[in-house]
Amino acid sequence: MAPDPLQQAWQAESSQPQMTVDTDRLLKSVHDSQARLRATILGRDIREVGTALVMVPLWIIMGYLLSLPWTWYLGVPASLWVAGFILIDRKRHPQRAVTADEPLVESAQESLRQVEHQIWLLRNVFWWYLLPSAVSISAFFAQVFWSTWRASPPTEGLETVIAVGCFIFIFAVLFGVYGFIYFINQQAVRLQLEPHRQELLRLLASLNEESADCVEGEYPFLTGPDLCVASPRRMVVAGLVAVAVVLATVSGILYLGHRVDEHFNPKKSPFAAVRWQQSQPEVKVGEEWFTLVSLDGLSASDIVEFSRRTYRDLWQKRFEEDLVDVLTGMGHRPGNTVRLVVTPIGSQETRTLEGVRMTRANRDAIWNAGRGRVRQAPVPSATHSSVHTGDADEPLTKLVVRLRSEKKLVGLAAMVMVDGRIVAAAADGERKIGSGVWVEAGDRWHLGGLTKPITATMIARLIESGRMKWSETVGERFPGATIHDDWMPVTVHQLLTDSAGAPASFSREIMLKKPALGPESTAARREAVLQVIAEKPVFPPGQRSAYSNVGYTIAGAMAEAATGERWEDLVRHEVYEPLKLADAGFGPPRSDDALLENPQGHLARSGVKVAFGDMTDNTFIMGPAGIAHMSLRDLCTFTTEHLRGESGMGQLLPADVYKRLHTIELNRYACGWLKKEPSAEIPHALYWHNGSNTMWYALAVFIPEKNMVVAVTSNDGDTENAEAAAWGIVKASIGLFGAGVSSTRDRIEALVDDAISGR
Amino acid sequence: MSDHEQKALFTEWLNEHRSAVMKVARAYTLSTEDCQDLAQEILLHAWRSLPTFEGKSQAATWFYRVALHTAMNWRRKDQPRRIRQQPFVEVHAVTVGQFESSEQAEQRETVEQLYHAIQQLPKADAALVLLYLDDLSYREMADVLGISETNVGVKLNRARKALSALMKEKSYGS
Repeated sequence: MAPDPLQQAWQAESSQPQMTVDTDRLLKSVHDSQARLRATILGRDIREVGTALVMVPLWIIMGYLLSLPWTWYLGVPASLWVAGFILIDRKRHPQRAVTADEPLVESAQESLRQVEHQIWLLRNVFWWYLLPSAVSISAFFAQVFWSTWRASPPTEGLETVIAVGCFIFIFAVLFGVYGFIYFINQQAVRLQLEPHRQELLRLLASLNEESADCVEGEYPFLTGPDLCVASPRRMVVAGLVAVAVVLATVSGILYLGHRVDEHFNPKKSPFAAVRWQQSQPEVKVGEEWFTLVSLDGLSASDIVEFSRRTYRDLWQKRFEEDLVDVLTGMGHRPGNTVRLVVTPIGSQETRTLEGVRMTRANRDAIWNAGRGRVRQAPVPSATHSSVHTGDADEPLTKLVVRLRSEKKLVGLAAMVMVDGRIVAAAADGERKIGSGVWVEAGDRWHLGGLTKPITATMIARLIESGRMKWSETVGERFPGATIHDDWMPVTVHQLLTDSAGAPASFSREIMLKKPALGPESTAARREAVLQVIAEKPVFPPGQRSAYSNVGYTIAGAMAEAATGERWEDLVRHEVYEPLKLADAGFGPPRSDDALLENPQGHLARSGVKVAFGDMTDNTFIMGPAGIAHMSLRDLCTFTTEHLRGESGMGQLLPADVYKRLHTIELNRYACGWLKKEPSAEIPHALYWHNGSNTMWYALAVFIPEKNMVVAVTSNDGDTENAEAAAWGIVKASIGLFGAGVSSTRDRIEALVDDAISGR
Repeated sequence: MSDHEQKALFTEWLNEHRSAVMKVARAYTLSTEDCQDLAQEILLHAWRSLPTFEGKSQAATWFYRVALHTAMNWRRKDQPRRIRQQPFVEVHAVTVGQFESSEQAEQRETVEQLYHAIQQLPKADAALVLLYLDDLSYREMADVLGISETNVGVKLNRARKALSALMKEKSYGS
């Protein structure tokens, strides 16, 4: 065949050199490019699988530390599903590099296969990635919302609208985020993958088909034609279907969880109501009240005894609301009906009631009755005789209940002590939101900054015993340390009156350190203090007074350096033990989560109050400024010690020392106390201090003129509302209990109303 | 194959077949910069594929496979990724000799027209035309493309017709 002139021209032209190659650089580029490829693949795997796997322990730890509801843990299977899906997909569809020296048709087919699989993955991202996580997060939000709603239902229309609005907003944001992720995935398909696929299809079609000029209708592999191109209407419908699927799945999960809970932990009772005569339960069956003698052959006294032994403080609540649990624990799980032996009230006759049905309605009625009921503090018998009449107890209860509801606090408690005797105590709300376990005035509460007067008292005791001096300085106490000159002459007294020039708080770096209470926290405290005093004070010492947690921590560290003992041991030996504060400790009050013997702190997260368990607190480094906890009774006892102190009746220190502790320096702060002069609102001078670690709130007040102490606590970090409630209680208490027992009911009602309305 | 042997073989083959690389790179790009980038990419793939060369095909066929495969998957948008690479290929513009004969000038003009026409052909047709112009046999073309010789014949016929039409258009246009 004669050579084609085009071929001749082409081949002649090719003889000209047109390209030079640096093979050494080529070699280097190959190595670089392979390293980049490996890094890209590794980065992708870490990002996709690693993130999902890291999320699992993180999710579990967060759930545990924050005591989150069970739906939180749905995130674990969701993460595992995503990681597992990716791994299996990688295994089934390995992204093998197409060998460049394969025939063109084969390499194009392999490329097409890979592109189409990638398209399939991205098109179905809703099912394998978005749906599992959307379901788990939605279920969590729904459960938290429902628990919060049940715990503090909105009292008026606007509140309901706001609450529902917040709920819808959270879901809208959630769906917005997921919608965006879905959208960018579909964009990637439309703008990148699909054009590449079309190109490969055209190439294959032109190589394989004798007559094909186009590829319409020919999609030999995984996907159909142009499925990614969707009309806006189709996208809206798809979005609505996605929402419906998520909501239906979430509802199904919550319902299933509810049924499982019902199965393993049925909430049923044969009684329509329960009341108590001492430890003897009186039960309502139908419309009639009886004294319970036995249930399915178990004597009432045995059931009560078991409940007391097992559930301690909560024994009555468990008997009333979790009777099936109690009986199961005794080895007698009840059926759908029970046999009751009862005695009608006021009768000696014993009656047997066969086949009494255990119903959810009964249990709910008991639970609802419990919600409206306020548990009174177990007032010690030694002081019981001094408690005012029912007129005294009742208004504080009423006040606490109404203020807690008004201020939407998780829990609120108060105690009033006059002349060293408890005259009233009340508590309302839940120990943990959604738990249905009610706070009691005997519970322990975190005191936050109210720890400062405790530290100041402890140091005053050390000074009285000659182990420290009011005038001793930072420079003297930390010899050999690198100390800024301005810190050298700062005294203990200046530190305790916030006039040392110490910063308000530690650096974020120090606040994030979480040493255990004990030698670790003492060592970390010293280190943090030395770090602070190496720098210049924030203002010249002794010239003004400004709030400082750091100053008290330095004072605490000085006490530790002076005695060789740890701060918490010093507080225990110098304050807790001499005053017999048996319910005092450090850090958040601990609870067995199942029994929930004590309240837990709460913090609002995205408008929803979340319990933070009993592990979360300020760093123990700043213990001397804010980590003590106490029962209300112990807090009143401690505050009463200060009340009595100035008149020489204190147990711990002589009158002049108490006077010094209560003397305001630089018009602001005494040693752990602030002073409020008489005002139109409260016409008596009073000393006070409050505290909050952002999850709790506590206020202690002593009024020398009235010989009165008021302590208020809340397990809610909403400090603004907690503080308003606390001062409302203080103000009303002065009116209620400061004038003796002669208050009339009308006057009491007026005081309560004033306190609630903030007048 | 050791790195040293690979480098020696690669350099030898490159000297023999660099024109194929260059032609493919030029046929599938429109600018000198893109041409250089694609040529680099082809050589990178060629180096990586060299250890898997089993000797079943000729070096020329092998180079064409690699070059065409790379060209088919080459994306202008991938360039930023390669910016970090130090250039190891330098493309020289064709110099016009001072004493170029009219025949040579005409030939050069024809080649320019050919590139222009090839760039307008569908990718598969462009591949066939490139192979045809370099005078590969039907057997070799089938080997490069992975299709039957009969299919090569049919498609090449069609591609040549398309090429002729484009060349005529160009001639009339000029």
